Amino acid sequence: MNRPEAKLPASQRAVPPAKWWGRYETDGNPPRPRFVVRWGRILSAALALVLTGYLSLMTALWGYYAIDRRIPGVNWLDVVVLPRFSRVQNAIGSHYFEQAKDLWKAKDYVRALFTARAAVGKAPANLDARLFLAGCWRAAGRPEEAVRVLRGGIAYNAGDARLQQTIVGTCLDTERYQDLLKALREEFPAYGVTLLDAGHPAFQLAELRALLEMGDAAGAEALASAEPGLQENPAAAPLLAQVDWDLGRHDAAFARLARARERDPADAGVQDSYVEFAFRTGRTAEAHSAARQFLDRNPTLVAAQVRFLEVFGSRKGSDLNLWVGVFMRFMAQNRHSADALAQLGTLAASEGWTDVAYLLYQNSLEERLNGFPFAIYYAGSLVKAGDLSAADEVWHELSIRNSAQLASASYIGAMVAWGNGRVSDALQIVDQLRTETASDLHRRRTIETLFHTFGFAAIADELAKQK
Amino acid sequence: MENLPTRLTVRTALLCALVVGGPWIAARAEGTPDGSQAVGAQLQQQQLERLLRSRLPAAPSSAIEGAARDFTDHLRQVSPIAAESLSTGRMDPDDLSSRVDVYLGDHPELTSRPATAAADSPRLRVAKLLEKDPDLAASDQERRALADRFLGRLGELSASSLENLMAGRMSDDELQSRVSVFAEDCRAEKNRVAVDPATAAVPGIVDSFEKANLGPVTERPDSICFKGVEDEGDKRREFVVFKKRPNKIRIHMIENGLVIGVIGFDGSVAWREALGKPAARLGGPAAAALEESARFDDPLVGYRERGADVRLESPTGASPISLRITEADGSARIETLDPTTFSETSLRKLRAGGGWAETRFRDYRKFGNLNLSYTQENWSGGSLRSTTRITDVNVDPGLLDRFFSYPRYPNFGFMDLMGGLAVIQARGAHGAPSAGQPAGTAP
Repeated sequence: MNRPEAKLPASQRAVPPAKWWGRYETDGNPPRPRFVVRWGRILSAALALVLTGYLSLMTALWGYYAIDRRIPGVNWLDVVVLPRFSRVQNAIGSHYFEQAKDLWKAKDYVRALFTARAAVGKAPANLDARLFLAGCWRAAGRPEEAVRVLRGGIAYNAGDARLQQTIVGTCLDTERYQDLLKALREEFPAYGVTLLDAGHPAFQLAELRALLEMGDAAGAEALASAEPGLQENPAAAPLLAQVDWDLGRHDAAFARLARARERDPADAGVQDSYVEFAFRTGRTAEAHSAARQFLDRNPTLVAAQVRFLEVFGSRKGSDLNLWVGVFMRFMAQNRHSADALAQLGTLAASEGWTDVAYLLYQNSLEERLNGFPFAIYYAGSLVKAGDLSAADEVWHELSIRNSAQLASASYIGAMVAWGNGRVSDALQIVDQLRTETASDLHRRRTIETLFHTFGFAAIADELAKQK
Repeated sequence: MENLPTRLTVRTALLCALVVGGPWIAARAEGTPDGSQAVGAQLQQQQLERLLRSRLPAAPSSAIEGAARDFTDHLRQVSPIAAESLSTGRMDPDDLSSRVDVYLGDHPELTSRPATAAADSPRLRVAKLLEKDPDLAASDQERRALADRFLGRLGELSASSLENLMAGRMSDDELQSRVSVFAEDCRAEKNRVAVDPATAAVPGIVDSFEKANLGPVTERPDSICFKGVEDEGDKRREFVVFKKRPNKIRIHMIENGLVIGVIGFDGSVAWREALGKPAARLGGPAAAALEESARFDDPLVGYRERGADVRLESPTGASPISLRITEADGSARIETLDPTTFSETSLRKLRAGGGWAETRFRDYRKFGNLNLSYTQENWSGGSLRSTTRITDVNVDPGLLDRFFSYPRYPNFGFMDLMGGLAVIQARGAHGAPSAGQPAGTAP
């Protein structure tokens, strides 16, 4: 028979079993059960959980980088220890950099550019990647992007000579003088690097040249006066002579170069400028003699050869044999060099040597299966020689299938149209040029000079007009 | 087109080697393409295609490529400066993107239909006019197919007329007149087909051949040049060939890296020039061979217009397809095509002295729309006589008409230059100051 269970007082009842996170204790009078939370255990467990979770996540991340994407140099410790995570970023950046180089080699240019940009984004201090990206942009015909990328590196590698020299070189080569001045005068100093002092004559020369190219001859002269070292630097003589020339002191310009040449007869830059200024100032005999000496000292130097050909360019009497001899040797030496031939092509166009320009055009087709840019030089030479109807014919022929190439020299198209009485066509091109050069006054000045050189001052005046 | 010009001119090079004379020496000058130009061109194509692909996700690759080309042409017409910026990769991405959007807005057919819609408007105009000729095409589908043939034939006859039509500049009267002539041609053709089934399949085969090897009429190049070498036994000959529409050709023969002979035909005068000799006119069989080689297009292209007869030699459906082309002057050749790719696999021609000379083509590679055979074998009497390998190709390189004309130089010419270089090279070989080491100003 079941008997009813006797009811015990609360103090004597059995307490529930203890948990790992808490237990019951009896205390008080009468004794009562009281639940006590084991905070230490809970916190330890939570900490262990968080730690395990973090390590799992970080390990997964490491696995993703190191195993899934096979990025070399990603260490587990670098992923886990947050202060070391920049090393992971660097490893990823280096990986992207290698990929970008491979893509560029494979001629997948767009992907190479994107990947190189990602490499620089991941590891902005990786100067090699930055220089590579800048080189890619230059090769792709985007010098402004190249300069932007390089200037972005000043924050990370301001003291690195490679970056400094590449910025200066790129800006000078691509005629981005405003950018050059900003970098030298503001951006490098902001990171404690002063390049425009007497200890860096190359950078001072770059600044001087930038000012000169931007048409600020007075500013260039003020700069040269403030830096006595520049006056003594033979390498500065051609630039300072140009300053003199721009300020109307033509004889002083020549005299300065003569002094520099006496001081350092081996300096090719000074020799070249000396011949040029002697020729410009009408000292033909001196120019001839100096050009011979320049070439004798530097028989394989393209600048010496081209300057000789320019100075002896009358190709009459005794000049003719000399000219042909040097021309043949120039061609034998440089027949495969598009850059050297382009210098001669430019000269042929500006001198109106249609035969030379046409030879170079034929040679280009033979060597590279491409008539450009020598077809444009040929058209230019016809314009300069006054054979405007022939120039018109050539320009028209080329425009049928090669309008994109001609667009890069539309100023010749303007001269051809103007010379053949199609003034409205010419003005339309001038209008386009004006728009195109609105933010590039250096280029506009260059084109204006070219119009003057080719005898189309009226077009130069049109271009100079503000609308 | 180009597989055949390549082949014919190579044969001409052989002929001209005899004409010009002089031994050929094995030496190969690799072309050095302009790196930055190649980069710019590649970049232009890749950027454009990425943009177009994002705007036209459903379009096939061929349609994207076509749209990219159309866009570039369009840009060249409306803004050469922008086109130049694009070609050199200098165009701002946002600018490019917005221009592409505008272009697509102007061409709704591209966004609504993925492929070959660009030509619909003129195609529909033609198809509408063809409604008057129900005997030729009864249904819309047939009329559109016939309109395609009309466009192709118009391009063969006059590229500028086709451009006018495509740009909507051709007047209704002119179009009506051209369509009427075309309809009459089709009727005549149909009647011939009725009596000669061997010609019935030819237009379709030729269309397929053109599509596979040459691309759309408007995008075919106006000029081409290529370098190559020909091996015959232990002799190796280097050459460069330049060709321009409709029938201009110039061939350089190279020895030791220098041009030792040039032959040319400007459409009326055949000429030759060799080292140390003045230019002279060519005549007789050499001139005739050069003139024949000068034809820019393949013999199958425009055969009707020049009065040639083409008949299917092989049974229908047989492989390879064999076509006999009989020219108006009675000369004949047999061309074989691969039925899958429609690439030309061989060409046989009856020689003057009897017997067939055969050229076999392989190693096809795409150069833009062109499908070019880079290796060509010349067989005769059942044995391999020579093998020609093309090493470099370029299209529309800026060839001027003057380049093909009989040379007239006021001072010194190209062969004078080559002669001078040869002298300098010879002096270098004998220890005198070489080309690379000029000795000062002494001439």
